[in-house]
Amino acid sequence: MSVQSPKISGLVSSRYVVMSVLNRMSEYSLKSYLRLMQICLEGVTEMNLFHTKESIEVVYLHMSTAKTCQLPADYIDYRKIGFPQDGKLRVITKHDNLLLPRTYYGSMVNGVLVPDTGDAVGNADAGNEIGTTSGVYFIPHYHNGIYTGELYGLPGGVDTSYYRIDIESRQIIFSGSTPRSEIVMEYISTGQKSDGSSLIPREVVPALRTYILWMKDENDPRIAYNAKERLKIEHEEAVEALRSFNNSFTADEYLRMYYSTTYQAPRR
Amino acid sequence: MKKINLIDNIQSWLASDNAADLKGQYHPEEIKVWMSSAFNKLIINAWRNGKKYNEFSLIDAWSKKYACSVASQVGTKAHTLLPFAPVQLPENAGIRQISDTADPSNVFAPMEATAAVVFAELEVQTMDSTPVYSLEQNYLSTGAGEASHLLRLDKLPVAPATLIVSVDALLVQNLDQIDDYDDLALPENGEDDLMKIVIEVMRGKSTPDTANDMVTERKQ
Repeated sequence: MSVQSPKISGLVSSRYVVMSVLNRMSEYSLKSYLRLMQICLEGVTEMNLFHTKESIEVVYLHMSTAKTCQLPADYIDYRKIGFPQDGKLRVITKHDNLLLPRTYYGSMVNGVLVPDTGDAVGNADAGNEIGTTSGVYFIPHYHNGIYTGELYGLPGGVDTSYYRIDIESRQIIFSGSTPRSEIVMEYISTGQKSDGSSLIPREVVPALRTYILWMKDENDPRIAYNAKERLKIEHEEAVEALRSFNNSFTADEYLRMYYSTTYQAPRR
Repeated sequence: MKKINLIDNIQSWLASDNAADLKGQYHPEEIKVWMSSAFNKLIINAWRNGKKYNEFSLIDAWSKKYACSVASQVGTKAHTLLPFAPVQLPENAGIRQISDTADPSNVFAPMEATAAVVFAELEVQTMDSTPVYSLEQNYLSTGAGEASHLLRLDKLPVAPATLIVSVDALLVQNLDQIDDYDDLALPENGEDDLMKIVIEVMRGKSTPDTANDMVTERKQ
């Protein structure tokens, strides 16, 4: 952090956002506080899901002997699933035909479901897992009659290890060669810690403020339709500004991209 | 102007012109009752005007802090008794603010008495630590002279955190709470309005029947 002059924090609390809204409304008491705070928390989740990158989180998971990993409680959707290899993430392939482990359904006795006590099924024939140090990452194969011990690259959909998200049981199912010790998942989180200690980046505050001001009035039948529409437009403009801020190129990034496709040569 | 001056003015206005005519004078306590009701009208009018512009500073001059001890804390819940029934204004505005006596910046959030069931299912219950209160009539001890209203408190800190043992209740005072020799801060024309309302009510009262109708009361 630059020490040239004192700065205000780049992160704020949801309480700050609510107080900022109350100030905009010239309301100097907490009578609407609980309602606005709830709207604010819902707004933070909405921003995290659709408009910001702040909710991308990384989790390291241990795989069970049944080749499953539990999803984190705040999991919404995944971005990448893989394991570490040479300091990078080796992303593995999604396979929607992997069998999801379940017990047998059971039967209804006098209107009550009696579960079947049989063994769990599914995933029993998955390949053996291997350690990270002896990883086999490419499939040995014959090419034009010549044995090739490894591939230069793999075509899409062909891999040595696969996963499938079992959303009903909130777990990931693996198959093939994956190191059991380290599964890495980058995922979209709710962005909210359950103890309320989550902080909000300052660039999100304007969009969050317009969201609260809009939602506060949206379900109030006494407020004119055009007033609600105006609040909606203001919110959409704030969201656009936020998305533009998050997705914009820096000049340096642009130049690097530009130079990557050019070369110097003698003039003819 | 002091409260007693207003009462004296009203009494003087209503008194008969005959010197030492005690029957033609209203008792100050009777005037106070009518004045109290007129004062409530002034408060609600001030609140309504304030609501138009979100500007309630006028009510500040009628508000006073009372320290109320927190009782029967179990977990995060407890209650406290209010010193008098709060002035009934919309949005429970008769209670201006409830704060921790030891830390005035720790202000409680108000909640309608039936709202807990809604908020209990929402994130605000777990993710926000602001203590809350709701108003109820006192159902615990309802004897004569007991406090008539209580606040249910929730989301209070529990040990080992520092407990809240007392709260400051900033309450709008009704006229009964104001001493005869206290200043009554009223806005422009406020004294005038107050006296006119009381006089208007009391002058319409029929005069006492002083005529001798020659009926002899006989004891049985």
